[in-house]
Amino acid sequence: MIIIQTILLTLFMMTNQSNDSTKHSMVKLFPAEIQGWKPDGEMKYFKGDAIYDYINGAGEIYLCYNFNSVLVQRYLKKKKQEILLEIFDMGSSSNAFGIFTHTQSQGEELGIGQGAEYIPGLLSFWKDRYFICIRFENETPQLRKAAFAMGHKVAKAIASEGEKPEIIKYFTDQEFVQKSPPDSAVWGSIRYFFRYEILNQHFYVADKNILNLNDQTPSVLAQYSDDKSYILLVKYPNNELAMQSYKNFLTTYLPDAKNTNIVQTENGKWTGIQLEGRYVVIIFDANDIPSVENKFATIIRRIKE
Amino acid sequence: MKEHIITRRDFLKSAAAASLGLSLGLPTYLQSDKLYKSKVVLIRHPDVIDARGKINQKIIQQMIDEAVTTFIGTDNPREAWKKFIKPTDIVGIKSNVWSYLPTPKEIENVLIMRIQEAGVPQKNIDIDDRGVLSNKIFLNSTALINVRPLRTHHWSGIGGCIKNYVMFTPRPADYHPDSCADLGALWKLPIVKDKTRLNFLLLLTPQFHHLGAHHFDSKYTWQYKGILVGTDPVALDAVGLRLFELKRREYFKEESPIRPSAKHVALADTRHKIGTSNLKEIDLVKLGWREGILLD
Repeated sequence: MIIIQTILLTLFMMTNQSNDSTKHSMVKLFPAEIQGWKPDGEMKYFKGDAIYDYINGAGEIYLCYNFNSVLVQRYLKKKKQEILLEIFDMGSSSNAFGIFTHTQSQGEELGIGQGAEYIPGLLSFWKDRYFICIRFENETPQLRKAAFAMGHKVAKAIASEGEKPEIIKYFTDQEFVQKSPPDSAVWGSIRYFFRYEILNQHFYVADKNILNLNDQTPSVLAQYSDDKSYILLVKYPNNELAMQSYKNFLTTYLPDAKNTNIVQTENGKWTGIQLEGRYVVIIFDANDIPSVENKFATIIRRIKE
Repeated sequence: MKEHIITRRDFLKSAAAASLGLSLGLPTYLQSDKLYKSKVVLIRHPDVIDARGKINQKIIQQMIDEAVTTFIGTDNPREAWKKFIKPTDIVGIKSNVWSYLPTPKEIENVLIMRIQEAGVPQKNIDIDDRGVLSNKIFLNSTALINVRPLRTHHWSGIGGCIKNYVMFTPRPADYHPDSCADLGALWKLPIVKDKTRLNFLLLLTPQFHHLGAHHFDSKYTWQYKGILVGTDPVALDAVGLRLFELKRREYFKEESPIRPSAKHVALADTRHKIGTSNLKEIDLVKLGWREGILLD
């Protein structure tokens, strides 16, 4: 009994030390001052499910990317102009990249961190295992300039870069990235994720997890810039799970497929599914059957290379 | 029994058949077939917000009074409120404190005044949002008034009357799966069940689009200068959702469905049976300013 208690206590202490270490390494990323903006008040720290205490329902998105913790610091200048700096520790560079692609809307390259974008009032970027948001209200040239300076400083403070998930290498910006016009509702870009809840946010497929997506199934959804069709690529841990998911999709989503894997759906477009070893490829809303087949061939050739 | 799965193709089948299905992202067969209509009052006033964005206290009171009296069918606001609130009630006003678009103080003032005039002592009235589960008035409440602005939401499609009750659960995350599909179930929690007397969905400066997880940009709000009033939270949200659909079409100059789909509105009707989501079954009474109303 004593041995078990000792082990549990040791594990508890190790976990706490790990938390403190993580938090400590994040604290060092916060600048002491940027162009007159200085920290105001205590830093706030939220770990795991506690993210709901910070951003309510939106916390679910971060948890879908296996969010670890977030540190938040408010900066003030002249007691009224506020900048909020949030540094999310996503646990891995893949997760940080994923949450960035999930939120990305403009597709602009800003040269901050390993990928960044700016929309009025929000500069966001990722580097290594961190996802960073710099927020403010009522944009002025000074606020924008300070936010960018803060972004550069935080990015520089993160010493190392992280790897993008391997599956992303099959996708090229030329084929998929759409630079949205300023007043467009279109959310361009390539999305990386591994939960069906995120898939449904960008392209609603079904109210249940018919493709068996989970932490072990890196996935990419991308919209072709030419014909606006979508490709979903999922990598499964083994061939059996890939086959099972392939069959489940055919049964559930394409029940009218008879001796074929490509079907014309109710909007007049064509949807098809292809199995390639551990990979499942789905093309949604292509203009015709040859278009689906060409897209299959292109992505499968890259997988095999 | 085989589980029924709703796919995108169900949506595609119904999209051409019903504009409501389009707005809710759900097939028509999931929508209600009730025989009665839910009444919703929309009131607008061109001067309720001035050039600096400040709300006119006198006009907002007039708007609320006219909407409530019209809803209940009487001329006197005090008498109208007595139809909803008893002097012995303990009343919680569930507001929303989201910093970018909170429930305005001017509206809270009117509600407190009218509830007091209905005979409820001040000590038995309180306003709260995130602290409702530790607020004695809310914990002991016999009546609730639900009031919040309408906006798009990154996880549930929209934040409206239904979603405003998510603070009544100690575990909001339980309601997050599948884009918050089952928010309607919140309304059956003992702390709120059958207590809501009136809902106010504020359309003064609604936010019809957003970028990112909890992003606010005034570019995606507009001065609609309206309020929806009714007893059916689902009907109010359905009308609000339709307004967003029309506004987004006008702004983006193309069909631009809200992402993710606010399916919780239709499911609050069809699955949780707490109200009516089908616009054909909603009696929308329009009062006041008509310019730019969209909901014709």
